[in-house]
Amino acid sequence: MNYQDQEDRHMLSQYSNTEDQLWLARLFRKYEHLIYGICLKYTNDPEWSKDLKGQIYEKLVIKAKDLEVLQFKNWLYIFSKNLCLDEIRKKKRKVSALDKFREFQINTYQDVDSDAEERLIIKNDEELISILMEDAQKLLSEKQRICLTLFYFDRFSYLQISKQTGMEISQIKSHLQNGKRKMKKHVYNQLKNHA
Amino acid sequence: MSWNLSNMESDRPCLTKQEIKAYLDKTLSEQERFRAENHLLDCNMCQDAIDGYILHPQELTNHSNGSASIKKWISIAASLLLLALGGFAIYQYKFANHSNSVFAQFYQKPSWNNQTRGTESNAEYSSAIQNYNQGLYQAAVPTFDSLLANEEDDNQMRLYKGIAHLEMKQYTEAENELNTVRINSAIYFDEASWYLALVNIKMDKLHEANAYLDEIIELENSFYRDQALEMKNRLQK
Repeated sequence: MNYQDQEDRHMLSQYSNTEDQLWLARLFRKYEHLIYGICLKYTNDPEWSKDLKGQIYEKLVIKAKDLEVLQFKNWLYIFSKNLCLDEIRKKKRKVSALDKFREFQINTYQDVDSDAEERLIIKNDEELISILMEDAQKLLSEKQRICLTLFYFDRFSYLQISKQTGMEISQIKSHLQNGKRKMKKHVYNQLKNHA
Repeated sequence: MSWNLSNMESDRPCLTKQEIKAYLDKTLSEQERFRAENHLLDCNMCQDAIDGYILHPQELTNHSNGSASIKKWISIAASLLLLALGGFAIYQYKFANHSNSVFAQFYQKPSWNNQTRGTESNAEYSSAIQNYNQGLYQAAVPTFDSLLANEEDDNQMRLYKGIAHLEMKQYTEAENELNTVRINSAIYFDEASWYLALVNIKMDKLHEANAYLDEIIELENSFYRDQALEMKNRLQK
């Protein structure tokens, strides 16, 4: 668990134990600008976003009392996003399959111990990981390899990669995310098999 | 060229509002931009927030997103107007004395009682605490720097480093350290804001001090709220 997650858990447990909103307010303040940005993205309306941000806090006052999650940030992200989408749906008075899925997503939110991978990787020596990474890069598609190479070796920005390759920034992000995930997963699985 | 997994790991917390603005304004350094974009690959929350601010970039320059900010800036504007009306020469003379007296009334150096730490740098850490508590700031600050080089997220240590600079009358350094704490730590946000207000009083930056006090006052449950209200009243006299 990283420092940020630890800090979040500390504030969350202080709030659960004392019910003192000071702790929740501090925790909320840490992510307030991100929550507001999420609301802006989905509503495209600053005034409505301010209201939604307030609603998210009000709901958190109740929800956070019994909330036990390892990564509060991830939970808060899904919670905020879904609240925005719910409010948009209410406004449009439409219920779609997608809404049902979102409801399901927050109700069945699974806390992920992402540090399990990190712990396993730390335990193993760099040389082995380096060999496994070489192995993993063979699994990349050509576009993923180009994007990852330009990003991690040449330290190009998304924009520079776009200019160099002619790909859209959204495609570049997708190639980077998927390629990175693929390589990490390969290394993790190999280490797990050897453990 | 070899692939390095640790280079791919995001080594930073979520982006602050200032960092999002700098990223969108393309004013981050190359290293900061890389760290931000690498973080964005793993953090949907920051990525969605950035998408939102791309649609409404003006929202990044608003200092707050609620009605409290309006009150705050009206209050700051009123303070500035009052100061302007008072005349610059009179202001210079009176304010210097007045701000020193306000500072003396409200500033109290906090002791550092936390001795618990189980790492190999324990001795160095203890010596920094001891030097700080004994007022040996010249000795404490280099140790803070050395420890912070390895643990830049230790906001508690950075807070005390900021106060050590304040004690040494190194106000710009104090302001930089406390501002970093204020941005990065929700736990020490109030403390950092309180000492930033005091540093700004020492730097004769009354409107900035007032802005920090207003932020503390907005937090209904802040430990420093009553003191902030009292200090603000004193500053306006």
